[in-house]
Amino acid sequence: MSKKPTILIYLLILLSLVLGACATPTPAPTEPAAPVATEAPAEPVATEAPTEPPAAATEAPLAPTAGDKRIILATTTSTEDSGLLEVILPDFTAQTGIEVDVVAVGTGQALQLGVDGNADVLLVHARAREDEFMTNGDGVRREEVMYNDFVIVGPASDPAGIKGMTDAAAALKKLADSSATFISRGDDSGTHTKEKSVWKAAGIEEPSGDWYVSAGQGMGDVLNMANEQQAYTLADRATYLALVKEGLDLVVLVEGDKVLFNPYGVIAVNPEKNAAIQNDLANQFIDWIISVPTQELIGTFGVADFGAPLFIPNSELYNASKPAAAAALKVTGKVTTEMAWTEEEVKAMETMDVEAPNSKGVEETYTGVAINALLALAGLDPAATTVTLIANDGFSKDVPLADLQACASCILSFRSNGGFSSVMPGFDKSFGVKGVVEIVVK
Amino acid sequence: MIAEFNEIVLLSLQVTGIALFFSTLIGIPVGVAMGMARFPGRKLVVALLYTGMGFPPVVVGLFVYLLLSRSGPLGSLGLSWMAQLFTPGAMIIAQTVISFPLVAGFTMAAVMGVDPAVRQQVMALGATSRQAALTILSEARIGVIVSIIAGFGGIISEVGAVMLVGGNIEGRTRVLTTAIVLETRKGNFDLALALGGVLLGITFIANLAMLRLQGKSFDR
Amino acid sequence: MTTAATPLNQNIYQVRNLVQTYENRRVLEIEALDILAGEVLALVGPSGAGKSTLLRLLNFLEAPTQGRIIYQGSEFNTSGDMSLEKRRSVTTVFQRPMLLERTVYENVAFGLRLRGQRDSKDRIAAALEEVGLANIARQRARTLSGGEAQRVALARAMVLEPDVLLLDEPTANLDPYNVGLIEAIARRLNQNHGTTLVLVTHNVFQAHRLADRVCFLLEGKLIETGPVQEFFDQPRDPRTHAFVNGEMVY
Repeated sequence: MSKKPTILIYLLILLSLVLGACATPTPAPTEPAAPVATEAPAEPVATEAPTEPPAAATEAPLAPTAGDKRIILATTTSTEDSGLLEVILPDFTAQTGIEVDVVAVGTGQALQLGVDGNADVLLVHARAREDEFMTNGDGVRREEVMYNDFVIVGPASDPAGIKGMTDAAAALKKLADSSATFISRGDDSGTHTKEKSVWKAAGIEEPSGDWYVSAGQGMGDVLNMANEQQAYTLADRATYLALVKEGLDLVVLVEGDKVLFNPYGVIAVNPEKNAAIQNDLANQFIDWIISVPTQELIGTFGVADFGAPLFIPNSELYNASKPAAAAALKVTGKVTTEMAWTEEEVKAMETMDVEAPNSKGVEETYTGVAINALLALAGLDPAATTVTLIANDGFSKDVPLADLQACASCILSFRSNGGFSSVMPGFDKSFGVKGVVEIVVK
Repeated sequence: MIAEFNEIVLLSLQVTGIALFFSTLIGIPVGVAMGMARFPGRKLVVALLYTGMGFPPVVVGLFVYLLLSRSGPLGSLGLSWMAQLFTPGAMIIAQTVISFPLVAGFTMAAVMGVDPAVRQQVMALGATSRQAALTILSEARIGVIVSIIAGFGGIISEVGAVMLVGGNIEGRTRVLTTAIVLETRKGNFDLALALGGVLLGITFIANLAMLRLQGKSFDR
Repeated sequence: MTTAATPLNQNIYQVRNLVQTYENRRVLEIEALDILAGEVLALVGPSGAGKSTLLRLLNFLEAPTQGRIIYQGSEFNTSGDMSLEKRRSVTTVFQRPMLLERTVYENVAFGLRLRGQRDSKDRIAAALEEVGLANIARQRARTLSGGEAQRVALARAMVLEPDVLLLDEPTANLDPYNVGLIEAIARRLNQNHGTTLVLVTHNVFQAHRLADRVCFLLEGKLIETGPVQEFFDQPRDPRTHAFVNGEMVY
């Protein structure tokens, strides 16, 4: 008889277990699932204090009102995990008094949060899906923010032998051919989306087999898993570098391929979705994040720790503010194919060193690309007679084609602060044109 | 899609089933012994057992992870028979460790809840010590069944440890809970809910089945 | 049918210098007590006299602190060892029936199952018939009344056909109808099967009704033993006299 209460207790425990099991799998689609990282209101005040000591005192009473303005930023784990947001967001709160509640999830969920109207603004990196999001009317404004790059990492022993390859797709193909274990995020994140596009480029629609491990976890988890299994994976550089500091053994094997660049966009969610969406605050956020000072802050993030920026600023405003940042070089006129190169592309060509007097008449060594080589790449029209060098300030100088062709050591040298100058040994010094942007063949 | 879905459900049941088998195999005798025996240091063992019952599963996951990690004490031995990280074996180890204290603890409580005079009566009827222990276990069976359900519920719905040591690998270590986390993260709430429904259903059916099973012994 | 290992009227138990101590408290101290095969011996005395302790020792449920019990020629001493076969020829019905959470039938079958005897349906049916409960064999034991439960407990013991049946206050708290039934069953068991009965009771009338001999225990000591008539009519010890006449204050 005395056992009845005991059974009741067991049943209660049982019930709680069932309810416990029930609570775990039920997401609440009407609310953001993840807890939000809230900036302490005191922090922006503290950062301002050194520049404007009295401001700290006057701003302090404003703190309670500042707390009234909040927006929800749904973003990918990479921005949160790398520590970027922690560094830049206090500046936003200090400027606008708006608190930002960060929900760091996969890009898929971040976009879904937008679709469901559960976030005010998104900071994500999956270009195609962002475009789809905009087309569907889920977002009202989209701006470029920055980009980072992906790297293919793997064990130092590199059993598949992909080290140093510059074509990411070819590298993945090689991994597939040698059945080297590759760990995929497999979570529909931006990184996963990128990985799938590279596989596609490699001609592999759906990688499968024992060697292909779809982990369904975050970047850090996947890197650790790859480390444990001495496997390959595609990782964003920021997370990779952060984990290397924690003792990750993997090394970068493939980098620099254009397809591995990863642009981040910021999107204001359509306020018609939900009355609680604060479009004006979202716009303030976008205006702030694409502004030149914020972009410059982004560009310096990580430099101190890793020796290189983790994110490259890429907003239109920022790019416009850079004087001829993309100092391109063109070859036009009487050529078989008109050519246009970026500075990097030119620098990647075969270079040569020449001795020539500088503007003060002192001999100096210049490094650059032979002008004849550039002309050869474009292909000269037989009717061509003259070459005009055009500078970025509009200045131009004509050179007889025959004279130029006779000069093997005439080059476009690389200027220390970007751009090219013509170095023409044996010619008058007036032929030394600074800031050449175009070569017109006549 | 359906095939993957079934695979996840099946793996969940397999991993949890095997883990529960081991924890029951060890946990029930330990629970019975703890519930009946009086020996020096018993209080300490009971305290440890209760601590184990409330031990955060994710910490168990962490320990198993570190243990099996390539650089860990077991992983570095390179034993071929030892379960490796990111395999169902590792998940089974973690789930066994998590469910063992639940099974042993609840069994102990159930056995202690049996009137001590029952043992005396059973001995007086000519039982050996073993028979007496089995009879008391049978008397405590509702509690023992609850202990198994508690162990089952504790691990089938556990996500942290299996995520850590299993790695949520598609087709290999992805179970219901980790799949739910993943699908929620992807924004696939429909699929996440469906998986959640299956998990709920499994827990419910398991409870029903076990309660029915114990009812049977009365009607035999 | 039982074949008692000890012929009738010979000593089945010889208790010698038996001492039982619980946590330094001496609860039982008996120099000598012989129990005859086939007799009904009543142990009477106030609460705390050590009657139940003696009964547990007679069923080998606990080891004595000192001394020994010779049972059917085997010695039971401080080691607490007794062969399973001998142990199984003695059983006890306690004051509380302590039925298991099973059906009535399964409870009665329990002791036989412990002995590996599975095909004993007839014996179980006969035992249930004997205690008048054949009609509720399928019922769960937990649902029974106190008297029914105690009769099941008795059937469960009887079906084992023990040489010795120990009864520890078997009818305390029962209604007169059930008391009568149980006493009748016990008497039949003794008379028809020659089962030795040792009955612990604080009820002198029950002792008078059932026993051949009576022992009076007080504070763990055996004060007086005698044939039932003599015990009640001419007690030698004044304390026995006081107890028998209901004058003892305890």
